Amino acid sequence: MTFDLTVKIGGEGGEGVISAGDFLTEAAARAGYYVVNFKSFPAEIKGGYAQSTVRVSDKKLYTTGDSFDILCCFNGEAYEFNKKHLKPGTVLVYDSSDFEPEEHDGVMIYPVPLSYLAKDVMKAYITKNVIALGVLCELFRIPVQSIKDSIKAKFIRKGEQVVDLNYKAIELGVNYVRENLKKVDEYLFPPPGEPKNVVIMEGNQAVAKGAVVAGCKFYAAYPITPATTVGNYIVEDIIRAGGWLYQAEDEIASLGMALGASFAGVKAMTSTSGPGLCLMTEFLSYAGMTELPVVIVDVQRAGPATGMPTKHEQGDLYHAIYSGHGEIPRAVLAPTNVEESFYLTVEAFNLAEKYQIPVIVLTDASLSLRAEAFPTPAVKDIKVIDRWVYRAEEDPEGTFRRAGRFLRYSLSTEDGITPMGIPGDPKAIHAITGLERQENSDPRNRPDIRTWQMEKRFRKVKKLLEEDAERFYEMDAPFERSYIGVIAWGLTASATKEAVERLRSKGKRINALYPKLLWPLKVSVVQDFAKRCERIVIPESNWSGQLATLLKAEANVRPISYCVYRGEPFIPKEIEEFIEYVLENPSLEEGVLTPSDLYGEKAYGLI
Amino acid sequence: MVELQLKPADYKSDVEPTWCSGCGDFGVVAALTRTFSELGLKPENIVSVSGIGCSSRLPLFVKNYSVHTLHGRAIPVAIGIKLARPDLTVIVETGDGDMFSIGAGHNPHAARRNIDITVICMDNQVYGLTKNQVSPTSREGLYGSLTPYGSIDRPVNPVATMLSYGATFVAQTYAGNLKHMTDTIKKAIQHKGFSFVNVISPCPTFNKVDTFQYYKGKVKDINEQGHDPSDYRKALDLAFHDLDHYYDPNAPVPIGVFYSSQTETYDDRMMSVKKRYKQVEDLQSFVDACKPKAI
Repeated sequence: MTFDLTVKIGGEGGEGVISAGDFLTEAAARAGYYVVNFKSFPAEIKGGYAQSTVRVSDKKLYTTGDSFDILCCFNGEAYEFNKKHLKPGTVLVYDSSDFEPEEHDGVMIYPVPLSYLAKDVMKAYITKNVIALGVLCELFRIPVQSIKDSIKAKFIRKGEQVVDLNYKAIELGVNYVRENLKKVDEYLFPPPGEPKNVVIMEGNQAVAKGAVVAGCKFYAAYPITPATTVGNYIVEDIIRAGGWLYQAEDEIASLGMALGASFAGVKAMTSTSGPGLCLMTEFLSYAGMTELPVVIVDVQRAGPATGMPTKHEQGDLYHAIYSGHGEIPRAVLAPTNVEESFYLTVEAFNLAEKYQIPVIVLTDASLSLRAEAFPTPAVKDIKVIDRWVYRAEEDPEGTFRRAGRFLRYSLSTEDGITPMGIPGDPKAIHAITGLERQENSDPRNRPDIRTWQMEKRFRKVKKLLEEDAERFYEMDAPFERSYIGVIAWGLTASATKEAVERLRSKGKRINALYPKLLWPLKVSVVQDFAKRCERIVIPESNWSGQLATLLKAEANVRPISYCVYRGEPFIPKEIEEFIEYVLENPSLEEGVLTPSDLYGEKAYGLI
Repeated sequence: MVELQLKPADYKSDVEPTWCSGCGDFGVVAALTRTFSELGLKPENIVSVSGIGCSSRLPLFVKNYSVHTLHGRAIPVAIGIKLARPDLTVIVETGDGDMFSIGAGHNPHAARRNIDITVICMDNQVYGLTKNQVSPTSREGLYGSLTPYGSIDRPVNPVATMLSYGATFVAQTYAGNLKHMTDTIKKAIQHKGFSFVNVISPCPTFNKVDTFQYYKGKVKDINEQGHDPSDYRKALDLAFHDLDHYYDPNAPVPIGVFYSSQTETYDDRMMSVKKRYKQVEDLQSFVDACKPKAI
């Protein structure tokens, strides 16, 4: 029997809503289930509404789904935010010492005086979230011991007393249910299955872990929401791995420092969000021109300008692909989930080092805060590419030296890739400069030299497309001819996968393509896909349909875009209904649709 | 085999300088290559980093690893190099536009953190590469292509600025005095920590006021006059009078080491933090740390 349960916990920021969700996530992972957790924090430093949604299943999960089965409200505000989603069949657990809910048809309701129990029985208000966990454990048969293990792991550093206090709190919750409530719903956490060898990571944590596994030894960044936590996660790991994190004075400096470290011979990266990427663009051009490997992670947030710093958007695709003066070889990767955030960060370093180019990884605010359990990566099986370092003894012919000078920008290789000289080597002394230059780095303006060097830089892109592009295109196209081919990138691809599964189970012939290498674009893959689909649809979290525009220009496809720009990611149901709408309207042609085209005024209250 | 000490000429690259004849920056190349020779530095262990401007072409004219970066961005790149490879001698060779206009935001942080790099600012008080605009260190009234009426801007004081940011070595020297310049740059490179040298390096083409002729006789060596570089307050006091000559025809131009103090560098502190952490060879353990704790 398949099993699929979503629990949403909402309350005041700082009340332990997020850690309660984390404990549930761990319990589910330990029990051997797939689990996805999505957190949302208030923008305020303290207080404000926070929530954590945990979905558990025995089949692979792509998202936290459309809505919840069980809602646990720590306060009235959480209830107000979520009450419109209290549909028949759902469950509400709430703090009855804080508020009383309205009547909801078919909703099963469990009042628990959480604040009273915490304040007056436990004499410790901070235990409220753990009491709630005890309640949830007893109501839905979540293994209490598992939650206790998580609590112990988290609090043991604060001493046995703290652990004991929390154990008492969880038991209080359990006993309150036993003594006061009668179970009226049928939701049950499944009995523990076969434990799996999994890790639980958040998006930004996966980026940090991937970077360390790839051999990153230098990380420079300026704090910016929602990218800062990449640094939080990497700081101690990178030191233990022999590297260093430097908090730069601004994003211009961050990328400059990373490039300096790269020149000095180590793998280097920076992370930022859209505003920071703006500041980096001059150095981005410089990195392409000087052929320095570097990885730049852009955890996108809702722009423009300061926009909504904690909110989701896929608005930086143009920025990642086109920003900078002049033209440079670069690669842009975009993971669709947490597991890919890990592996694509490793790939980003590999591409950067192999092709000596800047590589941008595009994630986003929601992906950064999403936690997933996924199979533990086996580091020994992960391919890590190190750069081609010049060694004079390997160059007896002197291909890369002439007249006593090292030829950093030699034109002698077919693929445009030439060895890098690393400071300390007397045989590889050279200059790098943002000026156009000849093979030995001396600045030159000559038309022929300029043309050769441009072609050298872009031959690397040609090779990348031939050797390394195809594996970044996840093709899920079982139908030789399909009504609809859906293309989605980044986090939107996750919701799309779930929508496609549902549509196929209704008999719809839908093909899907999930590109994770957005630049350079493997046009042939997109065109082969498009040929087999009557119409192409592209849902995106931005105003103009940035991937759609790119594919129109590069691959000559004529897509119907579906654009939302509200700061929240798509839920699967929306994409499902969008595709159904397109199916029902065969006359629809290329263009952009928004939720108001589908739902009218109602669209604004949809999420 | 005995290694022969390289001569100053051995540190010159094959690239011919693009500067106008009579440019003060030629002297800086001479002083730098002499310094490298005297200190016995190996070219492969030196990295020269610059920004954009006439002076920032300098790394290309010297035989060492050279990084010609963006306008104003030499210091961040130099920091990245130094932190990745503390074994290297990292020198920023830059100008007053890089240092006190477009890239000025980097100065306080490099200085206060005492990162072990040397910054040599060739200060000609004018923008030369873009052909004659006033710079942040230009005197009031200077004519430039964008100030045909004579500049109405007050100048920034390089020495006082860097002193107040907490640089642990601050000096000023003059391109017309090769010996003083060499001695000063040598002290700066030998200094462990962030060192800043402002080189008054006249532009013969665009700055017709602050010329060699002008500075000759005005420069006074503060150390010869008894200034003790360990005295921070006195250093600041002298520095505040650094630009007096812009307003007072009788005021001297102080050169010499204003301040020098040996304190722990960022690099040292980084190393001691690293020692506090157990080094981990097995990368798998970083991933395994994310497993839910076993029941």
